[in-house]
Amino acid sequence: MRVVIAEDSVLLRAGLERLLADEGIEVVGAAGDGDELLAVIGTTEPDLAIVDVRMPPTFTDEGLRAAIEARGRHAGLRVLVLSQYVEDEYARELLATDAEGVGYLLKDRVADVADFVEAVRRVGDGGTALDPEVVAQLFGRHQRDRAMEDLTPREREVLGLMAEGHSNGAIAEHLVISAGAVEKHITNVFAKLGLEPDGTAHRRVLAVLRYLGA
Amino acid sequence: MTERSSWLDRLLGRHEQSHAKWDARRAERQARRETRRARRDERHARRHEQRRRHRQRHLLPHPARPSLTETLKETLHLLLDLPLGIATFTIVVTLVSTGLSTLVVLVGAPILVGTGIVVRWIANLERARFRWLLEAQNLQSATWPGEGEPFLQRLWTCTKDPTVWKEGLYELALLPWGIATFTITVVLWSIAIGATLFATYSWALSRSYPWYEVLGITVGGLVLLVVVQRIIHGIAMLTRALARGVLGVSARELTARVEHLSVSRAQTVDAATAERQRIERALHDGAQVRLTALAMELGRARERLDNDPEGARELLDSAHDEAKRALVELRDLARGIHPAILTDRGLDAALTALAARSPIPVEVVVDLPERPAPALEATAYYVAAEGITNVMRHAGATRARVAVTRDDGQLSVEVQDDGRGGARIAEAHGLVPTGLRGLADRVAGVDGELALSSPPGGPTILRAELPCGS
Repeated sequence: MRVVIAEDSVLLRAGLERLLADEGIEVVGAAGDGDELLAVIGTTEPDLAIVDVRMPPTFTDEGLRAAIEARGRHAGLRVLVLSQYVEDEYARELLATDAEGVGYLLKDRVADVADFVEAVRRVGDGGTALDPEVVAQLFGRHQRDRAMEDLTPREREVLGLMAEGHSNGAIAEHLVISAGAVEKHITNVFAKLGLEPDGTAHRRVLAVLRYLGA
Repeated sequence: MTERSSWLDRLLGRHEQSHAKWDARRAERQARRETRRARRDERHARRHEQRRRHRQRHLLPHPARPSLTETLKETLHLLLDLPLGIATFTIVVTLVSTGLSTLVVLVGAPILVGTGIVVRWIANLERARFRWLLEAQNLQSATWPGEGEPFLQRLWTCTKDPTVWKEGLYELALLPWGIATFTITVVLWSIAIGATLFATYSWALSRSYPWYEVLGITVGGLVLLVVVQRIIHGIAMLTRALARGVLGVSARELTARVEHLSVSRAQTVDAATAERQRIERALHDGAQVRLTALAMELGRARERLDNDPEGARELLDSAHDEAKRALVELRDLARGIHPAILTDRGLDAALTALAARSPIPVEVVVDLPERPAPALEATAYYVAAEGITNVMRHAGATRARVAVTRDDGQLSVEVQDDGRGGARIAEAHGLVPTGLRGLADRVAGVDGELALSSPPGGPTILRAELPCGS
């Protein structure tokens, strides 16, 4: 997988490069702001862009806007947005174009190297990676939903992990239950939320995200 | 003889002595009189100088002869006093008596509020008249009393506003005043103009006047014209001075405003200090402690690396956790100082995000035509955030509602819950105002007001009114 990194802190950028290189992921370019990112993507044509939300010159959300812009210009480009803060509002903006190959994580998640690299690979393969905090916020908006209240605590856990973008296997591993049990929970969740059960794992994730309004 | 002469001499001598005494006394008196006169002159000179300075300071024209336009405007003004006086008197008396007499059946309440507004409206028209006809440029229109307040509160605001009362009294007094000025103006101008134009109609009168009488009356008329012009000017200036006293912003109000500003400034400084202390404490007790522990554990892990790799791994694990917790704490602290989404996306998004993190359902309604200034936005956010925090901590509520609206130059933030009520804004204890007190200070810092209604049993409504300055 070929990756470009947009991050204005040189320290973090170098750290990310080393971390990805250790895992055998090729970093083909780096940028310090939004415009530079668009230029680097144009010349290197990577599979995935890892983008920090806050960058010069305004230090607000230029990374996010550059990421959305880049996805508009280059069909099939996957982006993983990292941020010091996560807000479901930003997730919604990011997912509004097309939820395939989109990730949005807290920067802290980099500390858990294995999980982070897993998320990078997932997004690179066209999956999604939403931060648990974003999912918690999305749940927060649905806390008075009758259908959501009907879910058992376990089913809520499964729904949360699904919304984060995990595969059935990963969910089973995470909750230390069998793949069959996960399958059963997912069927129940879909029935209770009134969603159409669909074959592929990724399309199920999209259905969940749509339901949550992300 | 000798005896006698000695006696006489003594007497005379004494007489002379007393003469000398009298002279001295007279001289003394004279001197005293002169000093007094000098002092009086000095006083006069000083008063004259004061008057000159006063005129200069207040940009009053030197009492020179007024121009023709000025005189025409002044005359028009004084003539208008009567019809306007009749109108204002009638309106005010009618409204007040109707309002008071129907107050018992509650119809009076809206009428009285309406009276307050009508009184202010008429007063503003009067101020405009003074600006236009008498060049009283510093008589600026006043704002509507209690604008944007709920009805009953507005009634109270109108009633207790001393300016509304003064305006009402002015509108009543305009009638007798108008009768006087109208009469004086008409009579004086009639005499002066009549005398000046005497030559043009004297032939038509029954008695024929000799030429010198006609000439005398005409000259007298001309002199009168100048005199009347001065008198009219004098009356107009008197009217203007009185109007300035009654319709102008009083020094007391200005003083009150200055006092309010100094208090709110002090409160802002206190609130800012408290905020800094809170941040310092949070950094000191939170992130700093965690980083110290992290450094310590990394140090121990390094020591053990060679002899006890398994123990070193455990220490590294715990150091890793410690580092992540420090990150979380720093992030929460930064969000508490100023949430990034507030800067990026504004109040609606920031409050929605805040509501999503709350354990109880919080409905968010933000209705703003445009984004307010950053300082105002931040204050509005803190009112909502502190309000929600309080709801969660104390109210025992099952749901809450945050509404941010703007009308007529006021940004209002309201946090309402269905909890047990009984909240209050405590007086500041010591240096650091906390909770709602700190919030009240912060709101005062942008010249706003914080109101809390929390009867026992609820509901609690926390409301901040922040002036937008436009």
